[in-house]
Amino acid sequence: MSTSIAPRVTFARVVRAEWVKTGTVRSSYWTAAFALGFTLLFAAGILYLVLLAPAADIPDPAAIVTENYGATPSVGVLGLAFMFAYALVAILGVLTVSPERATGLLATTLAAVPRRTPVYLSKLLVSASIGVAIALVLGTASVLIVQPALAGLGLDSSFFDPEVLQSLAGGMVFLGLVAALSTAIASLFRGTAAAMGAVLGLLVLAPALVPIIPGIGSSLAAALPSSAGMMLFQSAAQVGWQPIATGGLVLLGWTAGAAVLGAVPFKRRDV
Amino acid sequence: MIEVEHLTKRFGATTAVDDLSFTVRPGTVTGFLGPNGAGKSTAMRAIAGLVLPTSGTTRVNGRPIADHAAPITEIGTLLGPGAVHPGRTARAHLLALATTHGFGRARVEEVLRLTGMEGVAKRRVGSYSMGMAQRIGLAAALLGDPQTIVLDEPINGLDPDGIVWVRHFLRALAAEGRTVFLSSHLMSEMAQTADHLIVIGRGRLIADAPMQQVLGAVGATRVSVKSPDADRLAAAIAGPDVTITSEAAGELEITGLDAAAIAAVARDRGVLLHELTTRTASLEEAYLSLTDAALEYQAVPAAIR
Repeated sequence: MSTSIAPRVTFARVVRAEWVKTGTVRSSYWTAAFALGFTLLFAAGILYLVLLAPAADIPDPAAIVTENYGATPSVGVLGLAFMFAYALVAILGVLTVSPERATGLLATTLAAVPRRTPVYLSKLLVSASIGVAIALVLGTASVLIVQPALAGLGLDSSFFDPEVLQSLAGGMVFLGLVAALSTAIASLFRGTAAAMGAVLGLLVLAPALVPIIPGIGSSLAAALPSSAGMMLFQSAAQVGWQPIATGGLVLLGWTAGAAVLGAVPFKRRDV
Repeated sequence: MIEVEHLTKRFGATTAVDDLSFTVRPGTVTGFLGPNGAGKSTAMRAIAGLVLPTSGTTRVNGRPIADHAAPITEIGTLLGPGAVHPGRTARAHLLALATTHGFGRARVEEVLRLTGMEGVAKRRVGSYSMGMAQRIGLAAALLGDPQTIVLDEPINGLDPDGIVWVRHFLRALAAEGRTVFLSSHLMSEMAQTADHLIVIGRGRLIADAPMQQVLGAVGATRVSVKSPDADRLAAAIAGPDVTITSEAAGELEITGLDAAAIAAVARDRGVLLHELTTRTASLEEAYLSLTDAALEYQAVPAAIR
């Protein structure tokens, strides 16, 4: 044996192994890079489009910006960034678990860790961490990119403005929970396509379709995980803490429920 | 050591494994034979903890696999060449597996060297031939230096060099006192590798016996003789327990006497022999006759025990 430390499965080691797996396939990098690039392009690009337009078309750019991005445009830009990014983060969440089952790799993993629960929890944890990290990088980059443009209009706010920090922190919680929720839901399905359909259906399609239901549609829509969770990165100074807390708890409830539900087939299903 | 006790696995209406019990002992290579769909892979996956039994138990080195603190040091498994992500390199695949048990990169390099994979370890698995994919599976099985090794069709897709290498490797592992359990459809290869056989059909045990006993049970050992004096020899060795048949002039097929006894009679009578060959039934014949019976009569496990 080449190691002096006794070989033994521990939760920390299983988590580390999941990180090794995530870090050694290209799809992780592609999806993350795409999420970052795409989001920055939209969130920051729109603002620059406004600013680059001929002065004749937009006589008062500052007014247009505050109209579209709110009184603190940095927070508005963050909000746009998280709204663009969450679908891609959901895809990353699915990719944490589904291809492993589809390729048969799960047999290798579970033969090494036959108790299975540590593997499932590690996947949720790694997925959530990736969501949080993407939100942090994305949010920081968005704010820093739009600062010079906003400064030109006299609308800039410090990166350390409590409103900006609160929105960034809320976005980190939002994308972390979205990623974990996606991984948990994906664990219910054998195939990647079915998992992707269910996750994107619930997180992206449902918020667009549910409000159409007459009568109860709008109240139902508020209970959907992504719609509720988006309250997390609103500015407390503008909407108050109560809707932020409610939205966060709804998303947390969905995530916790899906995590418990997804654990059952992960633990019981033949591989 | 692998102990399977009253293992039953149903998939819906299909019973893949039906009240199967056997023990695979250390220090031997045990072959696992049976027709397609007999339940071999299901039984092997149940041993590895991947298929959860409908009823019955499986134990590896005395305990259910999930109760071991370091499962890959107890049992190494190769359960088909597919259990890898095609986008990951062989080195990264093994590193992820090693990390779960706290093994480092050094051990990964060791098994890559052991399986002859160092040269291609940085290529992504999707670009591998089937033989190379099998070698990664073997490397993964050996990673924890396990006492028990379970290999489902390990030589599928390997080139002749690879097959010989696997044979010698498995024999060496058994000689070190480890438990080696493998399935294969290549009877000639199994005949050269295994000491003991477990044969199943329709999920039930057909035979669990040493290789020699399985071969012996099919047809008694025959001796073929070629001699210009065949008739005189036949007369001299005839007896109540001896059966002699002749397909052509000067040729005899004898059962009931071994080659040594026939040679002694030939010398005493001054009969010239051109050929004296002991013929045992091949594993293929033995296997076919065992599994035919199981398929035709849906037999209750037969009697070679």
